Amino acid sequence: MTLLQVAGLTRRFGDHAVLEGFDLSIAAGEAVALVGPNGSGKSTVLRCIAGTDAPSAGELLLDGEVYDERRPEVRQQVAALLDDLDFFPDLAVVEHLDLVAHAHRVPDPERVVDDVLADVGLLDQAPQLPGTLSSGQRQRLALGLLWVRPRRLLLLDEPEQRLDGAGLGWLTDRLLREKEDGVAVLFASHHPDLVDQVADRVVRLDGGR
Amino acid sequence: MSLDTTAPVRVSRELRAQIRWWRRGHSELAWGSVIADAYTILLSVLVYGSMLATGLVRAGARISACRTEACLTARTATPILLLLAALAILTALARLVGPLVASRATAALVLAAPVDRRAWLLPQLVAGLVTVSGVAGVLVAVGAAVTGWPVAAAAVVAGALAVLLHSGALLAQVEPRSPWRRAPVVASLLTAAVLAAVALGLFAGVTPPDGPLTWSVAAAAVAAATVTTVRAWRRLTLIRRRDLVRGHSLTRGLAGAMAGLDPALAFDVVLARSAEERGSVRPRRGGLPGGWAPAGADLIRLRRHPGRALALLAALTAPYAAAVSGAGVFVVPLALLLGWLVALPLGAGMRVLGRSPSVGRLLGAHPARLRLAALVVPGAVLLCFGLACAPALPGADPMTRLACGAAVGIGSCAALARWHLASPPDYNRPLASTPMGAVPTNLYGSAVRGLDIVGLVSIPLLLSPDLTGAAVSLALSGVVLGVLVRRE
Ligand SMILES: Nc1ncnc2c1ncn2[C@@H]1O[C@H](COP(=O)(O)OP(=O)(O)O)[C@@H](O)[C@H]1O
Ligand SMILES: [Mg+2]
Repeated sequence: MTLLQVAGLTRRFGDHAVLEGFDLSIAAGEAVALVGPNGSGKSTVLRCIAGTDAPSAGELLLDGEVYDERRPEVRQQVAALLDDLDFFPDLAVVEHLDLVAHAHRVPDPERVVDDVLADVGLLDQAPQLPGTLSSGQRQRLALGLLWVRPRRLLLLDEPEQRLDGAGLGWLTDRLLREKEDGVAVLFASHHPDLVDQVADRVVRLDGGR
Repeated sequence: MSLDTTAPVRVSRELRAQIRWWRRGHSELAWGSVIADAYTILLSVLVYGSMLATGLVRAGARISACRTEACLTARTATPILLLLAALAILTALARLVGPLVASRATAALVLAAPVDRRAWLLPQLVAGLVTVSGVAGVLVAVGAAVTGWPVAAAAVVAGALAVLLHSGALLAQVEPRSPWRRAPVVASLLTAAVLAAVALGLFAGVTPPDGPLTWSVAAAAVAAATVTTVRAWRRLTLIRRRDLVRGHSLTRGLAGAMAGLDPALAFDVVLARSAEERGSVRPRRGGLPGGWAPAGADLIRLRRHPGRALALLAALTAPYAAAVSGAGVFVVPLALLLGWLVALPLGAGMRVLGRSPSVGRLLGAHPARLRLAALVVPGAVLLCFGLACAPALPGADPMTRLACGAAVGIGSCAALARWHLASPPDYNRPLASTPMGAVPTNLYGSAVRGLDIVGLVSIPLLLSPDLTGAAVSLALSGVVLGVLVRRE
């Protein structure tokens, strides 16, 4: 059953069309990788779906209904990690996870948060403020914030960036588990191993050329 | 070949000449940008300054028109207040940036070498001491001239105390656990204490001291300043490289924010820096459910930094002192201004929600709902502040004063929200051509934001300090808050 349906997505900057009539559909439990050189429009696709960029034309359907990210039900279902990440400078790592879990009314939030902390490997960093994390740890926190909340569609822009070798293996396992749980995953990546092991389909973009 | 590592090499003069020579190739470019920077900073100072000055002049005229005994004696305290406030601000700034700083490049080239650091830092130290003593001296001299204190002696006291605290800040930079690190807080508390004394009428009947007494105080201040400066100078050889470099990126960030006329960015810079210094915290678990989650985080912040709310308690002394001094309706803008400025740190969460859509996306609820939740804690604290101001506010009866107090509290919350939630300068907008180059049309708006709301919600209360004025003011605040919260 199709979860997300993208039809005729077009994004122009001036008279340069980065995306022209882009079509895509993803079913629950399916993973699709967006690949292509820098500037080919991978982030643009993800931004248009997440609603941080407005497409020039095209149609988005979620569960067969018009996808409008202003609707709270939609925002509850779509978890996105894009390239505009920011944290609260004065809240600890574990307080960020608590905040997101409570905001989504997750049952038994403390247990969920503790599990995710262990999973992303930030148990020792739980009391640290984000400004003191290494860039790889910041990426782990950003990913962890997605795991403490409910989700049916994951949008990830180069989730492997800044992760070490072990982190990449962990991310691969984690995304495979997401698929088993019936989550649809749309991700942009430059990492061939991650794409090979996780993606059911690969969509190649060329930036309108 | 053996190196004598015990004696510092006294080559800083030559090194400085050498660096100047290296830089020569770039000097043209540097001077151009220095002039442009100075111009922008000057312009921003003018923008902020002119609004502030207008308000002060009008309030000053109102105060000097008051000829009652209470007004006259309360005014005697003015030079003391100016002195303490100047010391609090100057020493806080000194602690924030260093007071001594070295760029990373200097640190790598110079401080890593066995150069005498003291000789290298001397010009900066002298410049700092001259600046703080000049600022404090002139400010207090003006206050003394207006209120009939001995001008020269008061200026010397002020200059010496500024030097004392600046040297103290230096001692705290060399030795982080030094008691001098508390100087900014102590000076602020003393300011609040004198304001409270004025409000309680403790200055009644007190006349400005005569010349000889002031001169003996000045002599003592100069002696204390000299001793402390000599001590700081002695210990300066022990200053650590990391403590010198710390302030440099901060000053650059702050200069950038001020040059971009975006004071909220300066707040981000300071907040990020203090978080980095702190490193980690004792986490507090739990939170509020759903769209109220940001308010839950604000409660955590409040429990972690109770000083942020207590600062408002100290600020409360100012409206009372102003009321005793005969400021009349001008207590309203003063209380609004203080509520807004002192409560700025309470908006730390609001600020991140305002600047980063990614954070709102993470929390799921509608952005307007999240912004509303972020207003709850600062709004409640400021409402308490406004109501606590009530007895000092104009109004014929207690009920009216309470209404004015509510208007002050909610009004400063509106100014706070405007400051933290307003959109940053948008470089995609039509650009206005100015001598500074192309400037987005909302840039100046972002420089005076907050202050504009203080002005707006004061007007009804200045025109008619009664229930109608309070109601109109509250309605204006409501509209401002509504627009800020619902903005797309
Ligand atoms: N606001 C913008 N104005 C003009 N061009 C833009 C804008 N945003 C993105 N682009 C262009 O769109 C193209 C696609 O960008 P993006 O989707 O970020 O590529 P990537 O595949 O590397 O993620 C790039 O050529 C980029 O320069
Ligand atoms: Mg990209």
